[in-house]
Amino acid sequence: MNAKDFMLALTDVEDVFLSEAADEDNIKALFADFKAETDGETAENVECNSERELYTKKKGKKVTLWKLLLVACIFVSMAIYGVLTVKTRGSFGYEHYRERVEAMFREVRPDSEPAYSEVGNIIKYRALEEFCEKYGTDCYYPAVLPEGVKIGYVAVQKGSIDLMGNVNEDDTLTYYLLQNADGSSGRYSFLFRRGENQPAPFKDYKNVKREIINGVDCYILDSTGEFFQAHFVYNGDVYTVTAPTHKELMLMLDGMEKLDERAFE
Amino acid sequence: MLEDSRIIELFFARSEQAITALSEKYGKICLKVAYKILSNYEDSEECVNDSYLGAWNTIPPQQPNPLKTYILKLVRNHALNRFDYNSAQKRSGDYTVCLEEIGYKIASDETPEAALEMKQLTAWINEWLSLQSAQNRVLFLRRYWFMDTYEELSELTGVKAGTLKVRVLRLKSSLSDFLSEKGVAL
Repeated sequence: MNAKDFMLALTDVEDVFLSEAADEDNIKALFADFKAETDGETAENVECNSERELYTKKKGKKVTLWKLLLVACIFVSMAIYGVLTVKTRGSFGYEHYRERVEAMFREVRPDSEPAYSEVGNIIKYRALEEFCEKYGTDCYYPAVLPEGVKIGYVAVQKGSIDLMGNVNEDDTLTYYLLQNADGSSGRYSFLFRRGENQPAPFKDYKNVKREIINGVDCYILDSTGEFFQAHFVYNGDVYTVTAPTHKELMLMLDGMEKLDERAFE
Repeated sequence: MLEDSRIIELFFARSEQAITALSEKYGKICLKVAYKILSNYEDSEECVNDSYLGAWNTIPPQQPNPLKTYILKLVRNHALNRFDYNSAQKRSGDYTVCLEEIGYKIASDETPEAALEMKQLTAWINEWLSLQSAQNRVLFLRRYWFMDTYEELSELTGVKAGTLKVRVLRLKSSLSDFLSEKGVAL
């Protein structure tokens, strides 16, 4: 059948259908509830989908072939990455980090003076970067602290401003500002108090961020909104963990709290 | 404007007022339908006038109800035939003239079998239309019967032209499938 036959045959469609279509005054009302068809498509994307359908029909196998090639490339890339990862690290994911960190902790020996001697009972300091360098691994371990690690205090270092904290018996984690960017120094108790009552000096600091860590309100001073390093204590030694971003540091704090809730008690 | 029944009465009374009334009421849409096919005002007007004459010759005995679709079908048929005639002339003007001179009729390919097949095809189209929603029926007929452009359809329905185009494509595909089942390739 050619188009002409179709057009001729269409001419004689039933009057009831033709009347319906000829009634221009009511067509708008008829289409008031017009919806694009099925599959959750909107009027806008139906057009796009149609174009895609047309394109797919037109190009057919060519499009399918490209898709298959793309998927194959992704799989090959993933496989290569996996092989290389296993080869260089011995395993996937964080598992190798955990093993290495645990090994580091096993080998920790207090052989240097603490950087922050005036902080309570902290007597030894050791930067984790040293271990990282020694063991040739990354220096950021947000959630791989070994089980049983007791957090004596947490400190945060930002640029040339060093902040250190100590868990006091009155449920207050106190930070000390050891040195300012301009070289001035002093000791301030200002942060990290459990509960609603904040230490008085707290209000004197700006750019204070409030975080909820395991249901505990924690206030951390941050002059620019980012932390570079966090310090924690293990068996009397202070370790420094480099955190690329504020958020990742929070992950670490969260992990530490899980390891030993007494850190905040 | 007169009611359709009154216009029919005028036809039955053989009053020329019937043609005037018919033209007043449906002249505009008739001209539009013809023009959509022929794209020429003179030809379209001639076609519409031929259709009025066709109505005059067939009413009575016929008593069409609704009158609107009856006259529109006449117009469309005339326009399609005129289109064929014009196309043939354009393709091979001199040759066609020669053929006409020796008595060859351009539209002579209509055999009883072909007419029967055409009726069957119309019946299947009607069957398919009856399976569609009112929106789909109107959309399809506005596009292929009245030959509205998608922009005109959009204005008429208040729906985006692109969306309507997609719907019409789907309807066409649906009809094609339906006719394929009947053994007809569209």
